[in-house]
Amino acid sequence: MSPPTPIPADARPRQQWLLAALVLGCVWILPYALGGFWLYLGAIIACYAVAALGLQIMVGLAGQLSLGHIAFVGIGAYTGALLEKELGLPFLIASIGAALLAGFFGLLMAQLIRLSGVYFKIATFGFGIICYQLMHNWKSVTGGSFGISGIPPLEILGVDFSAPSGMFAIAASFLTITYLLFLRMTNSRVGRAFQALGQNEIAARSIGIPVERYKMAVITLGCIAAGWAGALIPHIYQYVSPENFTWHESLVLLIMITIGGHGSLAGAVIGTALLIIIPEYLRDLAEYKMLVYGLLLIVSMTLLPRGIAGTGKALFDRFRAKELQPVQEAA
Amino acid sequence: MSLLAQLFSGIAIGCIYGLVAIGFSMIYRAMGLVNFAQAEFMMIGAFFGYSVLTAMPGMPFLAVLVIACVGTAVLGAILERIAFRPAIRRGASDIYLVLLTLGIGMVLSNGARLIWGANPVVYQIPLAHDITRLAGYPLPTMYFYILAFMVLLLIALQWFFTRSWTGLALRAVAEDRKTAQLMGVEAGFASSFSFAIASAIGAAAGVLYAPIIYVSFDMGAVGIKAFAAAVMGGFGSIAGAVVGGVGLGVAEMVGGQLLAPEYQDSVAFAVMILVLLLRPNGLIGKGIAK
Repeated sequence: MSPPTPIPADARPRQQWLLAALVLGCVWILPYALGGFWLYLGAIIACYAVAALGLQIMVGLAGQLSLGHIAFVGIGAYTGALLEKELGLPFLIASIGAALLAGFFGLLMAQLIRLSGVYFKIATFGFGIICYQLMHNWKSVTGGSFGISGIPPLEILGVDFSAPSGMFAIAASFLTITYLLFLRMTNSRVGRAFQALGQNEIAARSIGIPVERYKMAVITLGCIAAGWAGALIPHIYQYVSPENFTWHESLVLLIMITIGGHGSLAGAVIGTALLIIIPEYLRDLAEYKMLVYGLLLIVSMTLLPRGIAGTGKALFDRFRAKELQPVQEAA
Repeated sequence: MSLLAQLFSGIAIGCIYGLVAIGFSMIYRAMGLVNFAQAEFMMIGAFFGYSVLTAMPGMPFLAVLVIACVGTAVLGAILERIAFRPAIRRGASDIYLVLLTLGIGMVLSNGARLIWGANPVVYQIPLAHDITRLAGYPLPTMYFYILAFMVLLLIALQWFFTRSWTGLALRAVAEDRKTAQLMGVEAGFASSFSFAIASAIGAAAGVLYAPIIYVSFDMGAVGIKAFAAAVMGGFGSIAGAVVGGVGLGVAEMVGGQLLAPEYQDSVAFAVMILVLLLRPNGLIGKGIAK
């Protein structure tokens, strides 16, 4: 039995809301201030950050490691694209459909939780592979390796959001809504139950938390977020292809939340931004992106086990402790 | 293809999965760690073999196998020493350790790409083209070598874990780390040794598989099915790994024929999930590494 996971990085509610304001403020302001390509990049960051937040509450908060999370982003992307293109549904409805379908499959996968630790991890891994192969091979629906193109322009209530600035505004709104909802949830009764689950399952059970039901709930929630994020992907890239949903991408999502900080919502956003911005500056190294990611993962596991957010908080706490309790320090 | 020949190739490929799966199971037993980098050790082993063959063409296949295994074993032991042991000593949680192995797997596969290039390479040995006829159907001779190796390895492991002091010590550590330490077994050595053996077995799978496929940096993807095999058989059991591997190989061959070849991987994982739902502890319970 391994020791419990460390306490989620940002534990205090007031700090969390301040941090949320700071992070979301940066997300909203920076791309508009920098303009141009940054708006496009910002949209990608916001979109993946929504998926990463979903994974964060599963992995960081409730301790349910999923190795196939990108599959749900994929389900969302294909559902959104098909609903809009084939049925002509408006974007908002299609995005909700995408989120619900991903949530439904998440609930299906969550049935596997009666498998113990190791088995669940590998089952999620298998789930991701099966989804990828379906996207790749079910040509009549998914278009196979060519994917789906000819996505209708992004329109909400007749207003065209297809320009990078509009696209970014939608993605950032998605991120803001998800972030604030999850933050609210984290500090609620349910959120504390999730945390208890992540800390020590047996203890959580012993204080009367219905562990199985909560596990299913958190997995479904995480997958809904992934599917909702997925609905943006067809619009950002103008097509959907299975290559965006290989199991490496699931890894990348995991690295995002780990580097950002285990259990920290702000960390998930920061990690996502880092992992999307870094390769843009390493264009020459594009082929070795995964090598860089792998090294980042190892380094952060060995040097910053609590991620950027967790390390930041530890530094902040130490600074405050010194400021407030000089007497004790001296003694 | 006749059913017999199909079954036989299923079993042979299944043995490859089984070999990688043995590696998973050993490390899981010894350290309680799911090592997602195991499949990458298979790939590294295959490349080590390729380098040996390039440096010394005409070297006997058995010698290539041994050198690749030793090289990979050393690599495995080093990685255990510099990455896993400090993390475990620090009391890193399950999730961190899994992420660490995932990171190491990524570094290994992309590092191999950096060293050996992105293009698949081929073993230049006559054995790669040898064909043996079984009931009139041609099969790569390599399949027979794989089967023979599997049998020999199982005998060797059985001897090692029941007769040799080191093997008994490893089992003791896997069973109860603290008590084993009190009895004078050095747990650190035991985990290094487990890693080394697991890596060597993985490398053997790679070298044996290499003559019938291309060797490339992403061939570890084949090894991911070994997870399914290990899980199906019952994680942590060597016998289970072999049963799971062979079962998966056959299921995949048959399932691939029934559906379509491109769904082979899906069949593998679907069978795995089904087995887990029916028998949550795998086909052969939670066996003790014998």
